[in-house]
Amino acid sequence: MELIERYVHEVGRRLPKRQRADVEAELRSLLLDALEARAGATPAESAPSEADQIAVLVEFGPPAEVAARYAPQPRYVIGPRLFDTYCLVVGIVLGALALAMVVATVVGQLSAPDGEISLLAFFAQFILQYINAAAAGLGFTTLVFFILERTLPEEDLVSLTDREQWDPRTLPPLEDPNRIQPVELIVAICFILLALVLFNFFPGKIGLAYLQSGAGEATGWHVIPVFSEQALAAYLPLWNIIWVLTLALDLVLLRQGRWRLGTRLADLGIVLGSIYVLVRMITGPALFSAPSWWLDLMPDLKETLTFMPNLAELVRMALLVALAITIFDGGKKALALLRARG
Amino acid sequence: MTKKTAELIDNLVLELRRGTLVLSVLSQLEQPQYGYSLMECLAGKGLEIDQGTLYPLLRRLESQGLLDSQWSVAESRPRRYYVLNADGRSVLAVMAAEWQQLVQVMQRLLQEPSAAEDEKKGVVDDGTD
Repeated sequence: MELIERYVHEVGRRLPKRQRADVEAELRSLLLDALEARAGATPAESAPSEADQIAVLVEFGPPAEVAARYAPQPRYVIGPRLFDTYCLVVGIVLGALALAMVVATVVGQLSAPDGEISLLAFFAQFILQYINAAAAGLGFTTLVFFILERTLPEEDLVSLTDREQWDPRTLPPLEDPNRIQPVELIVAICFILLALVLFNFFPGKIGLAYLQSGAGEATGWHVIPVFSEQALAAYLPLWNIIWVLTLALDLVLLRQGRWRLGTRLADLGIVLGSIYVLVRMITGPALFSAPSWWLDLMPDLKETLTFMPNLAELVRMALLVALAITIFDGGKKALALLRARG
Repeated sequence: MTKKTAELIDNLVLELRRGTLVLSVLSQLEQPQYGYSLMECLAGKGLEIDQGTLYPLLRRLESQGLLDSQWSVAESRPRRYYVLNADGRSVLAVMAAEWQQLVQVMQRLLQEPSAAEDEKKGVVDDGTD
């Protein structure tokens, strides 16, 4: 009978204490009934054979499975009743954390003691801290829902998914994929005009601004141009073509009020053009070159500009990111075109 | 039939049977029964039920207030007997009525396709005449 006892114990130790003794007693009695039936003609006094015990226990099933049936604990972290609410809260938590982290990182960078602002350090710090904060936020949210899942009474859960309060009229309207957003277009047109004017007429103003302290004529804000003349000469004409074409397309869209096949094709063509120019910029001459005469002219800037050598690399990374975004955008537009045709 | 289909059928049949378990068990507990005797009783009437499923189900029905239970020491070993209480009996009556209705609906549903086909055939025949 040793196997039977071992089995009963294995099931029992997986059960809550308050029902353990009772279930063990019942299980033992039931196992003996089954054994007796199996032994059949065997006189009741003789001990059941090990083979019979094994056969009966195999029929009952593994202890963990049987125990789980006696004391059903949810075998999941968050059940279907709370899952939608959980997803909503996770979204809010992750979004709020991102916002808080952006503010914290910007403030931290601005108030850094040596006054250096490095984009690379900024992004690296932000990403690392966000991963940490997001993991903690996700963990705590999951923990709270884990506890709610196991403590909220059934009635409270029902009220979370009250069907009677649901009104079909609150369903959001279907989005028309061909409708344009005039506000977006107007904002885009403003930015394109700004870029055209800025890059063509005031290229010297695009750069690093710094405040010269101390006495003398040099005191005040100064700007170091970021783009080399060579880069401007190589790429600006190409960008001008793309910007003007985009401007024309935006004006046509604003007039027509809807996307059509022609405008979609034109849009895709412009994206392809942008990809071409970006690839040329990544592979071509460097956008930025730090002429040594700046540093000779302004020796006190040397310390502030210690990150300059990395700038070319940083610009290249930014261009790669821009390229990836543009390709993704192009893919989306191509898909929209196919859907609009199909 | 592929292995996957056979597995799917097994699962579907299991699911179908699972829905009838509570009603089957309640129907046999007008008189007190202990676990093993109930299993044999059900098996004798054609319902094979896993012991590892039946015994925990009895306890669950008891905790839901449909069954009463009592240890009996009158026999060779102590046994726990389960029997329907008043609530259990009224639940059984409702469930049984529900079941009868379900059987009628299912019969209608399962007969429908052939009936519809016959009707269709009739219409086609009329057309050719």
